[in-house]
Amino acid sequence: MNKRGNLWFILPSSLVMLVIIIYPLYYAIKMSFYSYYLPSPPPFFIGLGNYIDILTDSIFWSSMKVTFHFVAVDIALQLVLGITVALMLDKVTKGKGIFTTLILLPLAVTPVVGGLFMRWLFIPDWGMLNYFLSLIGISGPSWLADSDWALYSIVLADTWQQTPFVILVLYAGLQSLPQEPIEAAMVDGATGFNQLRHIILPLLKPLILFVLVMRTMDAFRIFDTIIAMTGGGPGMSTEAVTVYNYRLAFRSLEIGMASAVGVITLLILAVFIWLYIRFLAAVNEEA
Amino acid sequence: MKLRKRLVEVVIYAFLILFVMVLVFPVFWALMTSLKHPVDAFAMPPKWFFTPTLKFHQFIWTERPFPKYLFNSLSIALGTVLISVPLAALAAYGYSRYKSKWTQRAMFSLLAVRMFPRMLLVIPFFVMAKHFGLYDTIFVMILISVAFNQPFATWLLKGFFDEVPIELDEAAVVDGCSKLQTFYRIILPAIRPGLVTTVIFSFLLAYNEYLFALVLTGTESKTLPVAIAEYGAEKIEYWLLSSAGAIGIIAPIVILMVILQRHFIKGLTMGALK
Repeated sequence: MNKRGNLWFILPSSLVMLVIIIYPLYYAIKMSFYSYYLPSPPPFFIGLGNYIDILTDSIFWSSMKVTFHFVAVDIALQLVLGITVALMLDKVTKGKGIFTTLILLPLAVTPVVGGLFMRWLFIPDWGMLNYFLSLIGISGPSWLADSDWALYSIVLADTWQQTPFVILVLYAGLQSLPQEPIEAAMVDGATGFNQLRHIILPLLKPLILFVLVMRTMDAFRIFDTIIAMTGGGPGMSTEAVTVYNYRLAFRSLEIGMASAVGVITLLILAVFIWLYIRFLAAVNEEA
Repeated sequence: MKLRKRLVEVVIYAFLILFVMVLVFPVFWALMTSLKHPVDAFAMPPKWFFTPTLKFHQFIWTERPFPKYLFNSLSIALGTVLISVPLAALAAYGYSRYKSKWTQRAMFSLLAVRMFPRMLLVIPFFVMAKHFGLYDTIFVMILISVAFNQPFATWLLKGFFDEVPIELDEAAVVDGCSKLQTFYRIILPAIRPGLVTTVIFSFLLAYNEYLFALVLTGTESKTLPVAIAEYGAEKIEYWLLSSAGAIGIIAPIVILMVILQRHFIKGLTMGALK
Protein backbone atom coordinates (compact mmCIF):
# COMPACT_ATOMS: atom_id res chain seq x y z
CA MET A 1 0.00 0.00 0.00
CA ASN A 2 1.11 3.48 -0.75
CA LYS A 3 2.83 4.54 2.43
CA ARG A 4 2.85 8.25 1.86
CA GLY A 5 -0.92 8.39 1.46
CA ASN A 6 -1.51 6.89 4.86
CA LEU A 7 0.15 9.83 6.52
CA TRP A 8 -2.71 12.09 5.52
CA PHE A 9 -5.09 9.91 7.49
CA ILE A 10 -3.14 10.41 10.67
CA LEU A 11 -2.61 14.11 10.22
CA PRO A 12 -5.90 15.69 11.36
CA SER A 13 -6.05 13.76 14.61
CA SER A 14 -2.41 14.38 15.38
CA LEU A 15 -2.76 18.07 14.66
CA VAL A 16 -5.69 18.37 17.03
CA MET A 17 -3.75 16.68 19.79
CA LEU A 18 -0.66 18.70 19.10
CA VAL A 19 -2.45 21.98 19.43
CA ILE A 20 -4.80 21.13 22.26
CA ILE A 21 -2.63 18.87 24.37
CA ILE A 22 1.02 19.24 23.52
CA TYR A 23 1.09 23.01 23.45
CA PRO A 24 -0.58 23.44 26.86
CA LEU A 25 1.78 20.77 28.16
CA TYR A 26 4.73 22.83 27.01
CA TYR A 27 3.17 25.92 28.55
CA ALA A 28 2.58 24.16 31.86
CA ILE A 29 6.13 22.86 32.06
CA LYS A 30 7.43 26.31 31.25
CA MET A 31 5.20 27.88 33.91
CA SER A 32 6.57 25.53 36.52
CA PHE A 33 9.77 27.54 36.42
CA TYR A 34 8.03 30.85 36.96
CA SER A 35 6.42 32.49 39.90
CA TYR A 36 2.93 33.22 38.69
CA TYR A 37 0.33 34.45 41.10
CA LEU A 38 -2.76 34.77 38.93
CA PRO A 39 -4.24 37.98 40.37
CA SER A 40 -0.97 39.85 39.89
CA PRO A 41 0.80 39.00 36.64
CA PRO A 42 3.19 39.05 34.93
CA PRO A 43 5.01 35.87 35.86
CA PHE A 44 8.73 36.02 36.44
CA PHE A 45 11.38 33.41 36.15
CA ILE A 46 12.54 31.72 39.35
CA GLY A 47 14.21 28.60 38.06
CA LEU A 48 13.75 25.71 40.46
CA GLY A 49 12.16 27.90 43.14
CA ASN A 50 8.74 26.28 42.87
CA TYR A 51 10.18 22.80 43.01
CA ILE A 52 12.15 23.63 46.14
CA ASP A 53 9.09 25.16 47.78
CA ILE A 54 7.02 22.09 47.01
CA LEU A 55 9.60 19.53 48.02
CA THR A 56 9.97 21.28 51.36
CA ASP A 57 6.22 21.53 51.91
CA SER A 58 5.10 18.95 54.42
CA ILE A 59 1.58 19.08 53.02
CA PHE A 60 2.92 18.01 49.65
CA TRP A 61 4.56 14.99 51.22
CA SER A 62 1.40 14.26 53.16
CA SER A 63 -0.55 14.32 49.91
CA MET A 64 1.99 11.98 48.33
CA LYS A 65 1.61 9.62 51.23
CA VAL A 66 -2.17 9.75 50.95
CA THR A 67 -2.02 9.07 47.21
CA PHE A 68 0.40 6.17 47.42
CA HIS A 69 -1.45 4.69 50.38
CA PHE A 70 -4.69 4.99 48.47
CA VAL A 71 -3.30 3.47 45.29
CA ALA A 72 -1.76 0.51 47.11
CA VAL A 73 -4.89 -0.47 49.02
CA ASP A 74 -7.23 0.35 46.15
CA ILE A 75 -5.36 -1.69 43.56
CA ALA A 76 -4.75 -4.65 45.84
CA LEU A 77 -8.42 -4.84 46.79
CA GLN A 78 -9.68 -4.47 43.23
CA LEU A 79 -7.25 -6.99 41.81
CA VAL A 80 -8.02 -9.67 44.38
CA LEU A 81 -11.76 -9.06 44.23
CA GLY A 82 -11.74 -8.76 40.47
CA ILE A 83 -9.86 -11.99 39.83
CA THR A 84 -11.99 -13.86 42.35
CA VAL A 85 -15.29 -12.73 40.89
CA ALA A 86 -14.09 -13.26 37.32
CA LEU A 87 -13.13 -16.83 38.15
CA MET A 88 -16.46 -17.39 39.84
CA LEU A 89 -18.35 -15.93 36.93
CA ASP A 90 -16.47 -18.25 34.64
CA LYS A 91 -17.42 -21.25 36.75
CA VAL A 92 -21.19 -20.73 36.97
CA THR A 93 -23.38 -22.27 34.36
CA LYS A 94 -26.61 -20.33 34.59
CA GLY A 95 -27.23 -16.63 34.87
CA LYS A 96 -23.95 -15.36 33.42
CA GLY A 97 -25.88 -12.84 31.37
CA ILE A 98 -27.79 -11.36 34.27
CA PHE A 99 -24.72 -11.20 36.45
CA THR A 100 -22.78 -9.45 33.71
CA THR A 101 -25.50 -6.89 33.15
CA LEU A 102 -25.74 -6.07 36.83
CA ILE A 103 -21.98 -5.97 37.24
CA LEU A 104 -21.88 -3.32 34.51
CA LEU A 105 -24.05 -0.97 36.53
CA PRO A 106 -21.40 0.91 38.57
CA LEU A 107 -19.51 1.62 35.35
CA ALA A 108 -22.55 3.37 33.92
CA VAL A 109 -22.60 5.83 36.79
CA THR A 110 -20.83 9.16 36.34
CA PRO A 111 -17.89 9.09 38.78
CA VAL A 112 -18.99 12.25 40.57
CA VAL A 113 -22.50 10.88 40.94
CA GLY A 114 -21.08 7.60 42.18
CA GLY A 115 -19.14 9.52 44.77
CA LEU A 116 -22.34 11.20 45.93
CA PHE A 117 -24.18 7.89 46.16
CA MET A 118 -21.34 6.55 48.25
CA ARG A 119 -21.24 9.61 50.42
CA TRP A 120 -24.87 9.17 51.36
CA LEU A 121 -24.28 5.55 52.28
CA PHE A 122 -21.31 6.47 54.44
CA ILE A 123 -23.08 9.02 56.59
CA PRO A 124 -22.70 7.84 60.19
CA ASP A 125 -26.20 8.20 61.59
CA TRP A 126 -28.58 7.73 58.68
CA GLY A 127 -26.27 6.04 56.24
CA MET A 128 -27.16 2.57 55.10
CA LEU A 129 -23.65 1.23 55.55
CA ASN A 130 -23.65 1.69 59.29
CA TYR A 131 -27.23 0.45 59.40
CA PHE A 132 -26.28 -2.83 57.74
CA LEU A 133 -23.26 -3.12 59.99
CA SER A 134 -25.46 -2.62 63.03
CA LEU A 135 -27.61 -5.51 61.85
CA ILE A 136 -24.65 -7.81 62.30
CA GLY A 137 -23.66 -6.23 65.56
CA ILE A 138 -20.88 -3.92 64.42
CA SER A 139 -20.94 -0.29 65.42
CA GLY A 140 -19.65 1.48 62.35
CA PRO A 141 -17.20 4.39 62.61
CA SER A 142 -17.87 7.92 61.46
CA TRP A 143 -16.37 7.03 58.10
CA LEU A 144 -16.07 10.37 56.34
CA ALA A 145 -15.65 12.39 59.50
CA ASP A 146 -13.01 10.12 60.97
CA SER A 147 -9.53 10.82 59.74
CA ASP A 148 -8.57 7.19 60.22
CA TRP A 149 -11.40 5.88 58.08
CA ALA A 150 -12.01 8.60 55.51
CA LEU A 151 -9.40 7.35 53.07
CA TYR A 152 -10.71 3.81 53.29
CA SER A 153 -14.15 5.14 52.52
CA ILE A 154 -12.74 6.53 49.30
CA VAL A 155 -11.07 3.19 48.63
CA LEU A 156 -14.37 1.39 49.07
CA ALA A 157 -16.17 3.86 46.85
CA ASP A 158 -13.59 3.57 44.10
CA THR A 159 -13.57 -0.19 44.45
CA TRP A 160 -17.34 -0.23 44.04
CA GLN A 161 -17.07 1.76 40.88
CA GLN A 162 -14.02 0.23 39.22
CA THR A 163 -13.89 -3.45 40.19
CA PRO A 164 -16.46 -4.25 37.48
CA PHE A 165 -13.91 -3.11 34.93
CA VAL A 166 -11.36 -5.57 36.33
CA ILE A 167 -13.93 -8.34 36.49
CA LEU A 168 -15.21 -7.88 32.95
CA VAL A 169 -11.77 -7.67 31.36
CA LEU A 170 -10.47 -10.73 33.21
CA TYR A 171 -13.69 -12.60 32.56
CA ALA A 172 -13.40 -11.91 28.85
CA GLY A 173 -9.85 -13.18 29.05
CA LEU A 174 -10.94 -16.34 30.80
CA GLN A 175 -13.54 -16.92 28.12
CA SER A 176 -10.96 -16.74 25.40
CA LEU A 177 -8.32 -18.90 27.04
CA PRO A 178 -7.08 -21.79 24.94
CA GLN A 179 -8.66 -24.94 26.29
CA GLU A 180 -5.95 -27.44 25.44
CA PRO A 181 -3.53 -26.74 28.30
CA ILE A 182 -6.38 -26.88 30.81
CA GLU A 183 -7.76 -30.10 29.38
CA ALA A 184 -4.30 -31.61 29.26
CA ALA A 185 -3.83 -30.77 32.92
CA MET A 186 -7.16 -32.30 33.82
CA VAL A 187 -6.17 -35.49 32.04
CA ASP A 188 -2.94 -35.45 34.01
CA GLY A 189 -5.02 -35.34 37.16
CA ALA A 190 -4.33 -31.78 38.29
CA THR A 191 -6.74 -30.45 40.89
CA GLY A 192 -8.72 -27.30 40.32
CA PHE A 193 -6.46 -25.25 42.51
CA ASN A 194 -3.33 -26.43 40.78
CA GLN A 195 -4.90 -25.75 37.43
CA LEU A 196 -5.51 -22.27 38.65
CA ARG A 197 -2.04 -21.57 39.87
CA HIS A 198 0.02 -23.15 37.16
CA ILE A 199 -2.05 -22.73 34.05
CA ILE A 200 -4.83 -20.20 34.23
CA LEU A 201 -3.13 -17.42 36.11
CA PRO A 202 0.07 -17.50 34.03
CA LEU A 203 -2.03 -17.42 30.85
CA LEU A 204 -3.90 -14.45 32.21
CA LYS A 205 -0.74 -12.59 33.12
CA PRO A 206 -0.79 -10.07 30.24
CA LEU A 207 -4.39 -9.17 31.02
CA ILE A 208 -3.74 -8.90 34.72
CA LEU A 209 -0.86 -6.60 33.99
CA PHE A 210 -2.97 -4.52 31.67
CA VAL A 211 -5.63 -4.13 34.33
CA LEU A 212 -2.97 -3.41 36.93
CA VAL A 213 -1.45 -0.60 34.89
CA MET A 214 -4.78 0.91 33.87
CA ARG A 215 -6.10 0.91 37.39
CA THR A 216 -2.87 2.26 38.85
CA MET A 217 -2.85 5.16 36.40
CA ASP A 218 -6.44 5.98 37.23
CA ALA A 219 -6.12 5.50 40.97
CA PHE A 220 -3.16 7.84 40.96
CA ARG A 221 -5.26 10.54 39.34
CA ILE A 222 -8.37 10.12 41.46
CA PHE A 223 -10.17 13.40 41.96
CA ASP A 224 -13.93 13.35 41.29
CA THR A 225 -14.69 10.82 44.00
CA ILE A 226 -12.68 12.62 46.66
CA ILE A 227 -14.32 15.94 45.91
CA ALA A 228 -17.76 14.36 45.98
CA MET A 229 -17.16 12.57 49.26
CA THR A 230 -14.82 14.54 51.47
CA GLY A 231 -13.31 17.47 49.62
CA GLY A 232 -9.92 16.46 50.98
CA GLY A 233 -10.78 16.26 54.66
CA PRO A 234 -11.05 15.60 57.45
CA GLY A 235 -7.77 17.34 58.05
CA MET A 236 -5.43 16.18 55.33
CA SER A 237 -6.44 12.55 55.44
CA THR A 238 -7.95 12.41 51.97
CA GLU A 239 -5.98 15.19 50.36
CA ALA A 240 -4.40 13.30 47.53
CA VAL A 241 -1.91 14.90 45.18
CA THR A 242 -4.67 15.86 42.75
CA VAL A 243 -6.61 17.67 45.46
CA TYR A 244 -3.48 19.39 46.71
CA ASN A 245 -2.68 20.43 43.16
CA TYR A 246 -6.20 21.70 42.61
CA ARG A 247 -6.15 23.77 45.78
CA LEU A 248 -2.81 25.25 44.87
CA ALA A 249 -4.00 26.27 41.42
CA PHE A 250 -7.56 27.36 42.00
CA ARG A 251 -7.72 28.43 45.63
CA SER A 252 -4.26 29.80 46.23
CA LEU A 253 -4.00 30.78 42.56
CA GLU A 254 -0.32 29.93 42.48
CA ILE A 255 -0.13 28.86 38.86
CA GLY A 256 3.62 28.36 38.82
CA MET A 257 3.73 26.17 41.89
CA ALA A 258 0.70 24.15 40.81
CA SER A 259 2.30 23.51 37.44
CA ALA A 260 5.39 22.25 39.20
CA VAL A 261 3.30 19.78 41.20
CA GLY A 262 1.77 18.66 37.93
CA VAL A 263 5.19 18.10 36.42
CA ILE A 264 6.28 16.06 39.43
CA THR A 265 3.13 13.95 39.10
CA LEU A 266 3.84 13.52 35.40
CA LEU A 267 7.37 12.32 36.12
CA ILE A 268 6.10 9.73 38.57
CA LEU A 269 3.46 8.52 36.13
CA ALA A 270 6.03 8.57 33.35
CA VAL A 271 7.94 5.84 35.14
CA PHE A 272 4.84 3.66 35.06
CA ILE A 273 4.09 4.54 31.46
CA TRP A 274 7.62 3.75 30.39
CA LEU A 275 7.61 0.41 32.20
CA TYR A 276 4.33 -0.55 30.61
CA ILE A 277 5.40 0.44 27.11
CA ARG A 278 8.56 -1.60 27.56
CA PHE A 279 6.41 -4.56 28.54
CA LEU A 280 4.03 -4.08 25.60
CA ALA A 281 6.93 -3.85 23.17
CA ALA A 282 8.37 -7.09 24.54
CA VAL A 283 5.01 -8.84 24.22
CA ASN A 284 4.61 -7.53 20.68
CA GLU A 285 7.99 -8.89 19.71
CA GLU A 286 7.11 -12.30 21.08
CA ALA A 287 3.94 -12.28 18.98
CA MET B 1 -17.42 -36.03 45.49
CA LYS B 2 -20.51 -34.91 43.64
CA LEU B 3 -21.88 -33.42 46.84
CA ARG B 4 -18.75 -31.40 47.40
CA LYS B 5 -18.92 -30.01 43.88
CA ARG B 6 -22.53 -29.03 44.45
CA LEU B 7 -21.63 -27.33 47.71
CA VAL B 8 -18.91 -25.31 46.03
CA GLU B 9 -21.33 -24.28 43.32
CA VAL B 10 -23.89 -23.12 45.88
CA VAL B 11 -21.27 -21.12 47.73
CA ILE B 12 -20.15 -19.48 44.50
CA TYR B 13 -23.69 -18.58 43.56
CA ALA B 14 -24.37 -17.20 47.03
CA PHE B 15 -21.23 -15.06 46.89
CA LEU B 16 -22.00 -13.79 43.42
CA ILE B 17 -25.55 -12.89 44.33
CA LEU B 18 -24.38 -11.07 47.42
CA PHE B 19 -21.67 -9.30 45.46
CA VAL B 20 -24.03 -8.16 42.74
CA MET B 21 -26.50 -6.95 45.34
CA VAL B 22 -23.78 -4.84 46.91
CA LEU B 23 -22.90 -3.42 43.52
CA VAL B 24 -26.46 -2.51 42.70
CA PHE B 25 -27.47 -1.25 46.13
CA PRO B 26 -26.03 2.30 46.05
CA VAL B 27 -27.92 3.09 42.87
CA PHE B 28 -31.04 1.34 44.07
CA TRP B 29 -30.97 3.20 47.36
CA ALA B 30 -30.44 6.58 45.71
CA LEU B 31 -33.40 5.84 43.46
CA MET B 32 -35.53 4.93 46.47
CA THR B 33 -34.42 8.02 48.34
CA SER B 34 -35.29 10.28 45.44
CA LEU B 35 -38.85 8.98 45.49
CA LYS B 36 -39.42 9.36 49.24
CA HIS B 37 -41.04 12.06 51.30
CA PRO B 38 -38.59 13.62 53.78
CA VAL B 39 -40.20 11.88 56.73
CA ASP B 40 -39.58 8.50 55.09
CA ALA B 41 -36.13 9.34 53.79
CA PHE B 42 -34.64 10.27 57.14
CA ALA B 43 -36.37 7.55 59.10
CA MET B 44 -34.21 5.27 61.18
CA PRO B 45 -34.47 2.26 60.90
CA PRO B 46 -34.78 2.80 57.14
CA LYS B 47 -38.10 2.39 55.44
CA TRP B 48 -38.26 -0.15 52.67
CA PHE B 49 -41.93 0.42 51.93
CA PHE B 50 -43.32 3.90 51.55
CA THR B 51 -45.62 5.98 49.42
CA PRO B 52 -43.54 7.35 46.58
CA THR B 53 -43.55 10.91 45.33
CA LEU B 54 -42.23 12.42 42.16
CA LYS B 55 -42.12 15.92 43.55
CA PHE B 56 -38.36 16.11 43.95
CA HIS B 57 -37.73 14.83 40.47
CA GLN B 58 -40.19 17.35 39.19
CA PHE B 59 -38.63 20.13 41.24
CA ILE B 60 -35.13 19.61 40.04
CA TRP B 61 -36.16 19.78 36.41
CA THR B 62 -38.67 22.58 36.61
CA GLU B 63 -37.49 24.83 39.42
CA ARG B 64 -33.76 24.44 38.98
CA PRO B 65 -31.66 25.07 35.85
CA PHE B 66 -31.07 21.36 35.31
CA PRO B 67 -32.59 21.36 31.82
CA LYS B 68 -29.98 23.95 30.88
CA TYR B 69 -27.21 21.86 32.36
CA LEU B 70 -28.55 18.86 30.50
CA PHE B 71 -28.50 20.84 27.29
CA ASN B 72 -24.91 21.82 27.94
CA SER B 73 -23.82 18.30 28.76
CA LEU B 74 -25.57 16.85 25.72
CA SER B 75 -24.24 19.53 23.39
CA ILE B 76 -20.71 18.95 24.54
CA ALA B 77 -21.02 15.19 24.32
CA LEU B 78 -22.64 15.29 20.89
CA GLY B 79 -20.18 17.83 19.56
CA THR B 80 -17.33 15.74 20.86
CA VAL B 81 -18.57 12.59 19.18
CA LEU B 82 -19.26 14.28 15.86
CA ILE B 83 -15.73 15.66 15.62
CA SER B 84 -13.66 13.22 17.61
CA VAL B 85 -14.81 9.92 16.14
CA PRO B 86 -14.22 10.82 12.46
CA LEU B 87 -10.78 12.19 13.32
CA ALA B 88 -9.89 9.10 15.30
CA ALA B 89 -11.31 6.81 12.61
CA LEU B 90 -9.11 8.41 9.99
CA ALA B 91 -6.06 8.13 12.18
CA ALA B 92 -6.86 4.57 13.25
CA TYR B 93 -7.25 3.54 9.63
CA GLY B 94 -3.90 5.04 8.82
CA TYR B 95 -2.25 3.27 11.73
CA SER B 96 -3.95 0.02 10.94
CA ARG B 97 -2.98 -0.07 7.28
CA TYR B 98 0.54 1.25 7.65
CA LYS B 99 2.41 -0.85 10.14
CA SER B 100 5.90 0.28 10.78
CA LYS B 101 8.18 1.00 13.69
CA TRP B 102 7.28 4.65 13.37
CA THR B 103 3.56 4.06 13.72
CA GLN B 104 4.16 1.71 16.60
CA ARG B 105 5.97 4.49 18.37
CA ALA B 106 3.15 6.85 17.58
CA MET B 107 0.60 4.45 19.06
CA PHE B 108 2.67 4.21 22.20
CA SER B 109 2.80 7.97 22.53
CA LEU B 110 -0.98 7.95 22.26
CA LEU B 111 -1.02 5.63 25.21
CA ALA B 112 1.26 8.02 27.05
CA VAL B 113 -1.09 10.92 26.40
CA ARG B 114 -3.95 8.90 27.78
CA MET B 115 -2.02 8.51 31.00
CA PHE B 116 -1.20 12.15 31.55
CA PRO B 117 -2.15 13.75 34.83
CA ARG B 118 -5.13 15.86 33.85
CA MET B 119 -4.40 18.34 36.58
CA LEU B 120 -1.21 19.35 34.84
CA LEU B 121 -3.12 20.30 31.71
CA VAL B 122 -6.12 21.91 33.29
CA ILE B 123 -4.01 24.75 34.61
CA PRO B 124 -2.66 26.11 31.31
CA PHE B 125 -6.10 25.54 29.86
CA PHE B 126 -7.63 27.73 32.48
CA VAL B 127 -5.11 30.49 31.92
CA MET B 128 -5.42 30.31 28.14
CA ALA B 129 -9.20 30.03 28.10
CA LYS B 130 -9.49 33.15 30.18
CA HIS B 131 -7.02 34.91 27.94
CA PHE B 132 -8.81 34.03 24.72
CA GLY B 133 -12.26 34.66 26.12
CA LEU B 134 -13.18 31.01 25.84
CA TYR B 135 -13.93 30.60 29.51
CA ASP B 136 -17.43 29.35 30.24
CA THR B 137 -18.17 28.26 26.67
CA ILE B 138 -19.42 25.00 25.28
CA PHE B 139 -16.87 25.39 22.51
CA VAL B 140 -13.84 25.09 24.76
CA MET B 141 -15.28 22.00 26.45
CA ILE B 142 -15.79 20.34 23.08
CA LEU B 143 -12.22 21.18 22.08
CA ILE B 144 -10.84 19.56 25.19
CA SER B 145 -13.04 16.48 25.05
CA VAL B 146 -12.21 15.94 21.39
CA ALA B 147 -8.49 16.14 22.05
CA PHE B 148 -8.55 13.90 25.10
CA ASN B 149 -10.74 11.37 23.39
CA GLN B 150 -8.33 10.86 20.49
CA PRO B 151 -5.98 8.34 22.14
CA PHE B 152 -8.64 6.00 23.43
CA ALA B 153 -10.85 6.25 20.36
CA THR B 154 -7.90 5.73 18.03
CA TRP B 155 -6.76 2.64 19.92
CA LEU B 156 -10.27 1.22 19.95
CA LEU B 157 -10.88 1.84 16.28
CA LYS B 158 -7.48 0.57 15.23
CA GLY B 159 -8.31 -2.68 16.99
CA PHE B 160 -11.50 -2.92 14.99
CA PHE B 161 -9.82 -2.01 11.72
CA ASP B 162 -7.17 -4.64 12.35
CA GLU B 163 -9.90 -7.26 12.28
CA VAL B 164 -10.86 -6.34 8.73
CA PRO B 165 -8.70 -8.27 6.27
CA ILE B 166 -6.58 -6.15 3.99
CA GLU B 167 -7.87 -8.09 1.00
CA LEU B 168 -11.00 -6.00 1.29
CA ASP B 169 -8.96 -2.83 0.82
CA GLU B 170 -7.12 -4.32 -2.12
CA ALA B 171 -10.34 -5.44 -3.78
CA ALA B 172 -11.70 -1.94 -3.45
CA VAL B 173 -8.59 -0.45 -5.02
CA VAL B 174 -8.86 -2.92 -7.88
CA ASP B 175 -12.45 -1.75 -8.33
CA GLY B 176 -11.14 1.77 -8.79
CA CYS B 177 -11.59 3.31 -5.35
CA SER B 178 -9.18 5.92 -4.10
CA LYS B 179 -7.77 5.36 -0.65
CA LEU B 180 -10.26 7.73 0.93
CA GLN B 181 -13.13 6.07 -0.88
CA THR B 182 -11.93 2.68 0.25
CA PHE B 183 -12.01 4.06 3.73
CA TYR B 184 -15.47 5.45 3.94
CA ARG B 185 -17.27 3.27 1.41
CA ILE B 186 -15.90 -0.17 2.24
CA ILE B 187 -13.85 -0.43 5.42
CA LEU B 188 -15.72 1.95 7.71
CA PRO B 189 -19.06 0.23 7.18
CA ALA B 190 -17.30 -3.05 7.85
CA ILE B 191 -16.61 -2.01 11.42
CA ARG B 192 -20.05 -0.62 12.14
CA PRO B 193 -20.39 -2.36 15.55
CA GLY B 194 -16.94 -1.07 16.43
CA LEU B 195 -18.06 2.41 15.51
CA VAL B 196 -21.06 2.09 17.79
CA THR B 197 -18.78 1.06 20.63
CA THR B 198 -16.45 3.98 20.02
CA VAL B 199 -19.33 6.43 19.81
CA ILE B 200 -20.73 5.17 23.11
CA PHE B 201 -17.44 5.52 24.90
CA SER B 202 -16.64 8.90 23.40
CA PHE B 203 -20.06 10.16 24.35
CA LEU B 204 -19.75 8.85 27.89
CA LEU B 205 -16.30 10.30 28.39
CA ALA B 206 -17.51 13.74 27.40
CA TYR B 207 -20.77 13.47 29.34
CA ASN B 208 -19.03 12.36 32.54
CA GLU B 209 -16.23 14.92 32.40
CA TYR B 210 -15.84 16.66 35.73
CA LEU B 211 -12.43 18.25 36.35
CA PHE B 212 -12.22 20.33 33.19
CA ALA B 213 -15.87 21.26 33.42
CA LEU B 214 -15.40 22.31 37.03
CA VAL B 215 -12.55 24.61 36.13
CA LEU B 216 -13.64 25.92 32.77
CA THR B 217 -17.38 26.36 33.01
CA GLY B 218 -19.26 29.06 34.82
CA THR B 219 -22.96 29.73 34.93
CA GLU B 220 -23.57 29.59 31.19
CA SER B 221 -21.97 26.34 30.17
CA LYS B 222 -22.14 24.42 33.43
CA THR B 223 -22.57 20.69 32.93
CA LEU B 224 -24.57 18.13 34.88
CA PRO B 225 -21.67 16.56 36.80
CA VAL B 226 -20.52 19.95 38.07
CA ALA B 227 -24.07 20.97 38.99
CA ILE B 228 -24.82 17.81 40.90
CA ALA B 229 -21.56 17.97 42.80
CA GLU B 230 -22.54 21.42 44.02
CA TYR B 231 -25.91 20.17 45.15
CA GLY B 232 -24.51 17.11 46.80
CA ALA B 233 -22.06 19.09 48.81
CA GLU B 234 -24.72 21.12 50.51
CA LYS B 235 -26.65 20.35 53.64
CA ILE B 236 -28.39 17.09 54.23
CA GLU B 237 -31.78 18.69 53.66
CA TYR B 238 -30.94 18.83 49.99
CA TRP B 239 -30.28 15.10 49.95
CA LEU B 240 -33.61 14.27 48.36
CA LEU B 241 -33.19 16.89 45.69
CA SER B 242 -29.62 15.80 44.92
CA SER B 243 -30.59 12.16 44.67
CA ALA B 244 -33.35 13.07 42.24
CA GLY B 245 -30.90 15.02 40.15
CA ALA B 246 -28.29 12.31 40.35
CA ILE B 247 -30.71 9.61 39.25
CA GLY B 248 -31.85 11.87 36.44
CA ILE B 249 -28.29 12.25 35.25
CA ILE B 250 -27.45 8.58 35.11
CA ALA B 251 -30.85 7.17 34.11
CA PRO B 252 -30.30 7.63 30.36
CA ILE B 253 -26.83 6.12 30.59
CA VAL B 254 -28.00 3.09 32.53
CA ILE B 255 -30.80 2.44 30.07
CA LEU B 256 -28.44 2.85 27.14
CA MET B 257 -25.95 0.57 28.78
CA VAL B 258 -28.47 -2.22 29.26
CA ILE B 259 -29.55 -2.01 25.62
CA LEU B 260 -26.03 -1.70 24.20
CA GLN B 261 -24.32 -4.01 26.69
CA ARG B 262 -22.43 -6.04 24.19
CA HIS B 263 -20.87 -2.98 22.61
CA PHE B 264 -19.93 -1.59 25.96
CA ILE B 265 -18.20 -4.76 27.07
CA LYS B 266 -16.42 -5.04 23.73
CA GLY B 267 -15.06 -1.56 24.24
CA LEU B 268 -13.85 -2.31 27.73
CA THR B 269 -12.06 -5.46 26.73
CA MET B 270 -10.81 -4.25 23.37
CA GLY B 271 -7.93 -2.34 24.79
CA ALA B 272 -6.84 -5.39 26.70
CA LEU B 273 -7.16 -8.20 24.20
CA LYS B 274 -5.04 -6.83 21.43
